[in-house]
Amino acid sequence: MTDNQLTFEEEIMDTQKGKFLCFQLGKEEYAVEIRYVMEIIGMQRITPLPDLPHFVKGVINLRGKVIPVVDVRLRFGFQERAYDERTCIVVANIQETNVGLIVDSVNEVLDIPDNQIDLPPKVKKGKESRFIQGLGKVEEQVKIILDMERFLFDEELNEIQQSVAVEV
Amino acid sequence: MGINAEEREILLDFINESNEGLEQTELNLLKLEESISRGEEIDSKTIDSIFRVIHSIKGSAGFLSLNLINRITHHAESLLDKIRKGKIKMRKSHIDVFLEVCDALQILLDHLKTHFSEEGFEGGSDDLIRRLDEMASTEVKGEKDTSRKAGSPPQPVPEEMPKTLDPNDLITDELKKQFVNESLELLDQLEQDLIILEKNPDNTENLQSAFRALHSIKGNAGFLNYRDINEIAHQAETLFDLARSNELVLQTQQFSLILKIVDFIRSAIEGLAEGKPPIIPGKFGLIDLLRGISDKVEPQEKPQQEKAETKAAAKEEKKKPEKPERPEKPEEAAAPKKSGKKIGEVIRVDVEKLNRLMDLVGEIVIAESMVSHHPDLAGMELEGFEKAIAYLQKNVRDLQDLATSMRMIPLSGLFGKMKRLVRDISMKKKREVELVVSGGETEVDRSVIEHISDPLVHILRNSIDHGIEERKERLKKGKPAQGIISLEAKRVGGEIWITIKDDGQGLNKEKIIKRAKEKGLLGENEESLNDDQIYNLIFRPGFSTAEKVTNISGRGVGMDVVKKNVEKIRGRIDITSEFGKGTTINLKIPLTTAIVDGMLMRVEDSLYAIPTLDIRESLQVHTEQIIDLVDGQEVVKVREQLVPVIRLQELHNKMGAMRPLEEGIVVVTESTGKAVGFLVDEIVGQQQLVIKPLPHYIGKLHGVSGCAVLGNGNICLILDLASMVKIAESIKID
Repeated sequence: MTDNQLTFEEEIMDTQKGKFLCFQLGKEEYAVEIRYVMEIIGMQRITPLPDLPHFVKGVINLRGKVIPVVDVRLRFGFQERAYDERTCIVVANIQETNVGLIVDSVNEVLDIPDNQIDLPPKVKKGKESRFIQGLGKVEEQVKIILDMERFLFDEELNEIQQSVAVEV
Repeated sequence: MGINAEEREILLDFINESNEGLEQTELNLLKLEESISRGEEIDSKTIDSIFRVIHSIKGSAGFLSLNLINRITHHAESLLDKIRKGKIKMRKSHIDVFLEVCDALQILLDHLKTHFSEEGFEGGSDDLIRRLDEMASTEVKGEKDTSRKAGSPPQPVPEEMPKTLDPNDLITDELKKQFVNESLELLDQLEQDLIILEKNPDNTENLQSAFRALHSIKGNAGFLNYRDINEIAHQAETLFDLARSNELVLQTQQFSLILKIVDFIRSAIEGLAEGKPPIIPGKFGLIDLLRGISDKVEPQEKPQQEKAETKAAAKEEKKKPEKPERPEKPEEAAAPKKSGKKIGEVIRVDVEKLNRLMDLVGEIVIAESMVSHHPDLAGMELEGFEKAIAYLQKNVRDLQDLATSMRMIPLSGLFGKMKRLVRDISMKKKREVELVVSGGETEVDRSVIEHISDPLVHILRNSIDHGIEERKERLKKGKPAQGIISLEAKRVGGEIWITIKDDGQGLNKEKIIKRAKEKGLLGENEESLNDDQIYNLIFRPGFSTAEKVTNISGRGVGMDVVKKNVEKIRGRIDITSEFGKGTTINLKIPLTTAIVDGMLMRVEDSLYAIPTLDIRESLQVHTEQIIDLVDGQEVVKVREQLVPVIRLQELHNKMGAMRPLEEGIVVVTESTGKAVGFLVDEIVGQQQLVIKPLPHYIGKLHGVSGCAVLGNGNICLILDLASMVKIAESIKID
């Protein structure tokens, strides 16, 4: 039974490997590993919370669970944009935490083989480039692959959490 | 565990089916046993039905590649087959073996239920199988009744039983865990009863309940073959049996002894949970003591006989303490079953399941409002539908109330334990102390109880140890001879406040500073401390001294650990003291999941809630009541009191277009004796709210203690008044 089950889990890993969910942010297309993605939902009513970094827009009610939502645009330091009917929330699960990511629109799920992924160029490091895990080449296009751990758990946020905790 | 959902489903089906089958089989076996002992003809239909059950378990087990179950059932089936075909005559020893087979299978099934595989199962089945085979083969040869009756089979079997079914092999961790949990609960109950009985020995209700608790423990321990626990519980049970039938009146001082014995049982059971053998040191002494009490009244009846029995058992025990015999099965097995029915009104549920139920109920509430407010229905005259919806709504509300209440436990259980603790320590320390408890009905989430138990124990112990003075000293100081410790719980906003207050000697600032210096806990720049800071030194790691290690419970926990435990559940602890007059310790524990009666308020398009209890009044203010402080802080004068007003938009740093105070409603709240007003646009209404902690990702926020999901799916923020007060104060200072 354990044998079966190993292959079963491996299978899941296998089918998910190399698959990326692509989403649009302005003109560029971004991608996240599919294993992080729980579901994609339309825009919801967001309840704002005080004392948060500007890119955390607040919380939403996802079937009784209260989960935080992050505006990906703001996290990257882009211009804020009004939400429209194509705006989506990608619900991701990282380190056993559910977080919603607000993106302009969701495009497709793509296979990007390892050998088609380049490391991000090391020129002129902007502050936000640390969120980029690599650049995936698909035909003529380039998808910017997000490093989800850094994107969500970067020290910037930790600092904020700590400062709040200390003051209280 | 790792297994896919489909396989899990199949396994669970198999387990349930087999369990049902085995239950039926057991009954059938007992029926057969009865007819054998009466010398009646054996009903072939009954044997057939047993055969079918075993056969189908075997088949399914084979299919699911459960080898152990498959093997056992296979061998049992062969023997059964021979009986069925008349090749072997059924006798009592067969019944015993088949019952053993049932037990073994049931234990295996339990194991399966948690592990989803036979792997890791430690019980031995080889011997059982060997005996099944032996019976099948020896008896097929000789059909001579007489030789066997006098000879081998019946005798070797019982002798081998302890080996095959050596309980230590068959007791799964699951069983053990169950026993530990159940017994600890029973012991708690017992203790409560004893404390009441100590003051009021004739209370029949408590006598009954104490008897029942001991009886259950005895039965369960016997079933699992925990000899020491079984014997002591038995002796104590006898005592209560006499007491409840009025043949014996227990004396106050005897309760100390009984309580002590409860402790022995408890520590044995707790040791069991940690994997130690359930041995009670000094068991015979304890049993003799107990017997001493019961013998006083009833010297001539059965005790004598029992004495002989237990002594004999005791001797055996001494000889081979590591290989306890299997107790006589039918008798012992019956005990837990009977008592099981009595306490069957309560079942154990996985907390995770409760959480999921909570979530689901929330979903149903939302789904219900989606249906009843569906836009397609707009403008239609639907009388029947409305009625149906009203009925649905009512039931959904009830369901929600029920589900939320299930996770909550009143503090009274925990407080009851504290009574016992205070009683024991004060006796040991020869201090007269009364514990006054209030607010025991306050309900908290069960996880909170687990976390505050140890800190409370320690704080109370400290209060008696270092707080309450000896009688002489108290009288000299003009205090009443009996010290009073009050233990109070109340809900303040989104928190539970537990206050432990004693009227002892209070903390000695100089001593604390001296000790802190000795221990090197004071930094260079910490020469001038205010009172609060001095008192808080006792929470520093390393402050507590060695004398505590020798303390009664031997836990050797310092106040720093208390603080850590409290902080683990995001609680706070603070201490105030007046030298010579007493010490007060405050635990402020946030509710992780709790329901609170809250007032919903709207500010622009955000919803906030404040616990209804904390709201003093709400009012519309007139211009002449408003005082603008120089720094822009607004203050309203409500009767003679000046109340600072907080605009909730400020929380979000959304200044926007501020409406003048007169246009909104000011909700005046009071928390920790301080009043704060909030300007809101509208009061939406009062509602029961399920407090959910903010997502971990966000961490702790100023002014917000949690949030709640409303019936319409919206989220409201629950204001943390204590920190709001701080915010209001800090604004003023600026």
